[in-house]
Amino acid sequence: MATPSTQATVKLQSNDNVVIEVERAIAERSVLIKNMLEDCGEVTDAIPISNVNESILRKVIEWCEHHKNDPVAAENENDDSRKKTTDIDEWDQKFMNVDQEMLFEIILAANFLDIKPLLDTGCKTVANMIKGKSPEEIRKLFNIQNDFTPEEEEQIRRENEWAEDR
Amino acid sequence: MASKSVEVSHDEVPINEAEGIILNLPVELWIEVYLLLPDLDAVSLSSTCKLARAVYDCDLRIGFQSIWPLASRLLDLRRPGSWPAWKEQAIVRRMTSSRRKDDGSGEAQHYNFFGVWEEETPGEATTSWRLDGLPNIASTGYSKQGLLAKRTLESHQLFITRISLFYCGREFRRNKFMKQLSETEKERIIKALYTAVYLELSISCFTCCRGKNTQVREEEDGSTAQLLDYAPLFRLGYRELLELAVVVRKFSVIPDEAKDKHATPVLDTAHLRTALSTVLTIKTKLHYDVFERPRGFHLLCSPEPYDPSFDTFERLHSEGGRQAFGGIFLDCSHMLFSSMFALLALADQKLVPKGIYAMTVAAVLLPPIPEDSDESFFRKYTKTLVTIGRVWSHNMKLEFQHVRVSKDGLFLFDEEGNIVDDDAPDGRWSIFKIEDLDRIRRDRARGQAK
Repeated sequence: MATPSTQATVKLQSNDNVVIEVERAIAERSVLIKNMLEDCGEVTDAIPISNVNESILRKVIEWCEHHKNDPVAAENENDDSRKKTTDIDEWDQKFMNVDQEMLFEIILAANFLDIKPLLDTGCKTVANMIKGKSPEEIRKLFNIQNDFTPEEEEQIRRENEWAEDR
Repeated sequence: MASKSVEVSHDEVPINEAEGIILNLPVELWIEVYLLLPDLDAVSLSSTCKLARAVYDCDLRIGFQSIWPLASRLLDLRRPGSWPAWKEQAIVRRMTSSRRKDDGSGEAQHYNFFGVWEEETPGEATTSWRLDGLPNIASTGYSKQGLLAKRTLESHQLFITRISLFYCGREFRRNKFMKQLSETEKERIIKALYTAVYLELSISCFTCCRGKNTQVREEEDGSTAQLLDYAPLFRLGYRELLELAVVVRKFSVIPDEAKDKHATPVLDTAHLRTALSTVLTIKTKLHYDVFERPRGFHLLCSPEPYDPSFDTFERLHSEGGRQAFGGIFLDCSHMLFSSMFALLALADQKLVPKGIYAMTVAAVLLPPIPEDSDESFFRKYTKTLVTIGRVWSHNMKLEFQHVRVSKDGLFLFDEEGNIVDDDAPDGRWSIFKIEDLDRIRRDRARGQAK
């Protein structure tokens, strides 16, 4: 393993070739980047973030900046504490108040960069959008095409009967 | 019908750029969203499109993430059907994580999934389990008024319920037998137990119902009849059948001495035990009459028929200190049993006396039915069964008929009300007792007459 680096900033390169310089502490909210920096030590070149474009990368960095002082969840706490509710704090709610395309891009970026709290916030936002809605309302919300045949729909209706009386 | 098993992988997810962006999410993120949704909202999401349904079907058990970590470790998340390795790893990680912690509020936490709910008091390790939802599931689970209503709806729910109850229930924790087992022994039992639950839910393919009330008690008008499909059990080898007998006796039959304490079995395997006792009796008699009796020894088999409660089985294999099949899962006897069954298979083919029990010999002790068997195989197989039944039936009425049913397990009737083979390419061959088929024909005719 390389010697730990003391560099203050790192450069991140989006997939549309824009280089953004950020504080190392902020970039290290991403477990992917943190591991990479720990493995490589001093990194002078820009780190390519191949799955994320500039606008999404800036958005992710904005989130990381705001949450840079948040305690990092212990590995074994991840699945328990973070999924307890779908409550989202006010700042994050505003942050996630974007169009669907950007919302899902942020979720995908968080997944790629391994930023679990951001991924959770994104998934909670989607779950909150779904809650209390009928299948038809969900289809409209996300522009999902109903690709079931009438027979399949009938089958699903039967399989879901248990839920109707509750 | 078996539990539905739908495989979804990253490569197979149909992505249509013109459609909703949510469809572009990889499956693990769909699961993240499902995990955050209450049951009914998860059902709604699953009803929007095929992809959402496929993920939901695959990950039905994710709702149990918080309540059966022990089961997930033991079962390795193998439910009937396939399970992608990457998903298995991801969900095992989730399901085996530590239990949800007290948030300091001191309030009890509730988890509810498919009618099974848990009330957990923070700080207490034990949980109580309720099944308030099951009566509701049972009452809505059957088709409302069909003459033939297949048991489909409740299969997932009951499967999950029974398995989770088994592992999380007090009986499991207190079961000294399980505590003393090694990991490999436990694994063998789990596999057999899993097969038992799967078969219990799938062999009882049909319920013949009449009238609006599907909960009518049989003694009142005799309108409900179970039809057992014996083919799945005939597909198993003799050893697997014996393993099943051990687990159903061990885990789903209440010993006589406990019956007056109003004990109830953890797993209700009434259908399986009925079919298993019949199939095992046939195979055991074959082994005994064709192989053991002529040679003057009595190792594996009993000339007595096995009863559905497997009391005979327990008695025969416990008396005289033999404990023969109680040890079928144990490490110390595993190699011995393996060698013995291998030798038997060899001996069956070479040493069966020719000219005696011609049909029996031809059957070579009824080998397991291959999955891809065609009609000619089933015809020969059923003919052999019928012959055996006539030789030994005495009081057992061992008359069978093979019938091709639809992929969903439904019968096809002709205009005269006779059951005919369903020639649809996705149909499957099944084996039924003739008396059960006659009964279903009569019930159907009576239902139509009304």
